[in-house]
Amino acid sequence: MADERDPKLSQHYRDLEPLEPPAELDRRILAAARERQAAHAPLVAPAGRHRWYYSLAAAAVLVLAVAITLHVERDRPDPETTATAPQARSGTITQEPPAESKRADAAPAVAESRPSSPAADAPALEKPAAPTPRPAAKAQAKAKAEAQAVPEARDAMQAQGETQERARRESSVMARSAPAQPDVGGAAAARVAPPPERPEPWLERIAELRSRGRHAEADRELAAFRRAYPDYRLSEVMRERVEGR
Amino acid sequence: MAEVTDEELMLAYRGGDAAAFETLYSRHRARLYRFVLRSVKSRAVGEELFQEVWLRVIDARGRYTPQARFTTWLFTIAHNQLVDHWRKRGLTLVALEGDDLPGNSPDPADQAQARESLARFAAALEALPPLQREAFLLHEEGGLTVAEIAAATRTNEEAAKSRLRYAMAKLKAAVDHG
Repeated sequence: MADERDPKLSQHYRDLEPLEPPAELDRRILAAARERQAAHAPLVAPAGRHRWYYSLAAAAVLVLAVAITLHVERDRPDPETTATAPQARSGTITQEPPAESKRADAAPAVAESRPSSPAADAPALEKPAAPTPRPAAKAQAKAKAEAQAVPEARDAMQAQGETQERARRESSVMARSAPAQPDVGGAAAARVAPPPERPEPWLERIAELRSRGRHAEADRELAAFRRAYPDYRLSEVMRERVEGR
Repeated sequence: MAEVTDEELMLAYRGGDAAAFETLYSRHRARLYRFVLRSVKSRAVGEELFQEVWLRVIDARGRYTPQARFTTWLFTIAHNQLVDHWRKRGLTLVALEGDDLPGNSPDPADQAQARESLARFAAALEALPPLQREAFLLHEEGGLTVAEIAAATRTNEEAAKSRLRYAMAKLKAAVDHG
């Protein structure tokens, strides 16, 4: 039952005046098609409902930026470590907290250029003892190579332990800061580009406006809805509610 | 070589090919124009609606997915535009009165029988209830099947079929019996 066509009626219909849109109308529509296409030329041609990827991508970039900023903020010299350092200095050498990043680059050079005497090493190693695992390992290797370097090896191992401890603390800092990120991202996403309103809640809102007698707003919203969803089919009930006529 | 389908053209336009829209427009401009004008009967209103339909097609290109024939989609948008238009003015305004379309006025008495028949047909088409006329126009101009008419006008197939049959019966009666 796909075709109910009556040839005679079809012929009569075709014999009616062959209406054509005027050239000016054609020109306006084609110009609009080109202009709107150029105005919204997609970079990667997002498809249909996937256009919100742009907003999501922007929000994700923002969240990442905020997260990195927060992380950098929290990664400043650990007050806990700096507070305990003097106490450690007053105690034994093995209690020395790991030298922070200040000496990271200088540490290997110091380790390599230091004299072989363990007595002379001890004060020199206090500062660059274990900034990172790499110089620590290097110091450890040297200590093994040199029979007299037992204190150095002990320092290095201690420093390695400190470094691991530090890494663990950083992990816990990251873990603490992680729950805060979605909120920041959520707010950012909301600021960047709200996703298009879904048809059903939108219609409900229009119906609500209509029921409150705010017809001008309802008309505007309905027009906007029609622009956003031109082929959306309203149910009779919903149509009566949103049009109110 | 197979002709590029409407759906492919629309997808190409969505992807940034403005020329695809021009091809698409050239294919459907006349039939959509006739459909709209014969639905509202006022040339000025019809042209405004016609333009609005195409602008909505343009604006909705990003959401277009070829789930149905492009023609069905296009005429669904046109239907929605017409419904909005009718609702704003009240259905009675599209009943019998309105601006005459050029060529719909009766021909002089000395015209041939065929032209009289055609005039009766035009008058009968104009006198059809809007929903029946729309079903007929969607069928003739849009080339929509009963199922597609039902989809475009958001009704069931039985209702669409019934509207179309009533329309055709009235038109046939007008042509056959004057």
